[in-house]
Amino acid sequence: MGKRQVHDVRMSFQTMKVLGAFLNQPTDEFSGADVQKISSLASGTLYPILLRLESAGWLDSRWEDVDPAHVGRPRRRLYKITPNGLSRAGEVFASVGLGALT
Amino acid sequence: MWRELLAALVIGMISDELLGWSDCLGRWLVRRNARYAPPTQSARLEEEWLAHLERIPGKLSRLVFALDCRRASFLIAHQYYSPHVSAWTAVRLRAFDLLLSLSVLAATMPTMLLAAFAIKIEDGWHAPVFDASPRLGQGGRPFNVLRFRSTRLDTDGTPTRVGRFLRICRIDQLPLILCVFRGHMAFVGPRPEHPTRAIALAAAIPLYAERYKVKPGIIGWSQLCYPYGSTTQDAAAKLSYDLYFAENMLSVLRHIAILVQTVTTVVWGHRVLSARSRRTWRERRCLAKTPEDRGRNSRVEAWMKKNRLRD
Repeated sequence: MGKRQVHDVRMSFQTMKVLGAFLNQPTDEFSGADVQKISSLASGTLYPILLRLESAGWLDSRWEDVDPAHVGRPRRRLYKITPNGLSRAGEVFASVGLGALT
Repeated sequence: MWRELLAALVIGMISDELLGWSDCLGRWLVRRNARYAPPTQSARLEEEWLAHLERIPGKLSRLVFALDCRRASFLIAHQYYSPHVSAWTAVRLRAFDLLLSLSVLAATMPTMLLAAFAIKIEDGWHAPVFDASPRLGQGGRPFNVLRFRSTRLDTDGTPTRVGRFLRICRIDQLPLILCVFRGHMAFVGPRPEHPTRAIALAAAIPLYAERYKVKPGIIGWSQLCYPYGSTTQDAAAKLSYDLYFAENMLSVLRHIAILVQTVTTVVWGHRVLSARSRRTWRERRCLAKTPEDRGRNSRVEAWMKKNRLRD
């Protein structure tokens, strides 16, 4: 079963909220919990969007560089916006305006 | 007075217990819900969600988060297997399966109880009622197909007296509805295969694994279009219909149409749909679909043409 690439990202208000969180600090890495805090979306909405953006190449993700046994908590998955995602998200927000989120 | 006190004490104990176990419960729910995601991603999501769970402050919000992971898994699985249809279609299909299976279960419950009772009477109280055999489900995940046990326990394959009757009336197949209710199967979808046969076919036929993008079903589009056959060539021909189904027929109305057509072909005694009705399906699809969808079909159709499987 080959992994199907999703090339077009269907824009929704929720997707824009997630992108807005990344656009504010494009160089930072966020875990799912961080994005949730900024976008205030439920987990059932947030994670499908994160995975869809990742498979479309807008986001990149990696495991946190810690040993779970050492820090006493599970590793976090960190997401970062890619240059491609940054320009594409910029286009989206240019067409609707950042004010759409508030 | 003492009654209210006792009630308050019991409620207090229960809520204290729930609060104490809520962390365990949350982790258990997250692990369980991550399993509904595609098999390639469930391990990652489980770890990711467990890390997220630890960072949520309230006990109640933690439970809500853990429960909502089921929705996340459902949507992720849907966008992984069939991103060309809306997620609402998947919700509608599941609702359709759930409602129809519930009503069929309600209607056949007396029959099923009688059958179970008859099996128990013939083979003793501790004999199993169901016969479970493994099949591959959506995403290649194995599950057990349930049937009423119609063979004897000690020997291999000899039908019991009750079993012979159940088989003639096809009552032994009724527990398949339970598989639909549990979400392992759908009413309409490719027939589920035994793991060993599925592995052999996947090695022999290209694109065979693609059929696990959709849930297996009790009634298949390929069963309606292609006569019974068990060779590899037959399986390849049926696969072309299954792939066509997975790409173009994921909607409640089409599922109902297939159910109705199956009933009418059985009633009229035809073995399969006529070539004319099959052509109508094709033409309707060509008119209705976007160019992008036609491109997706052409990949399957090119392969069908190569293997001379066009009807």
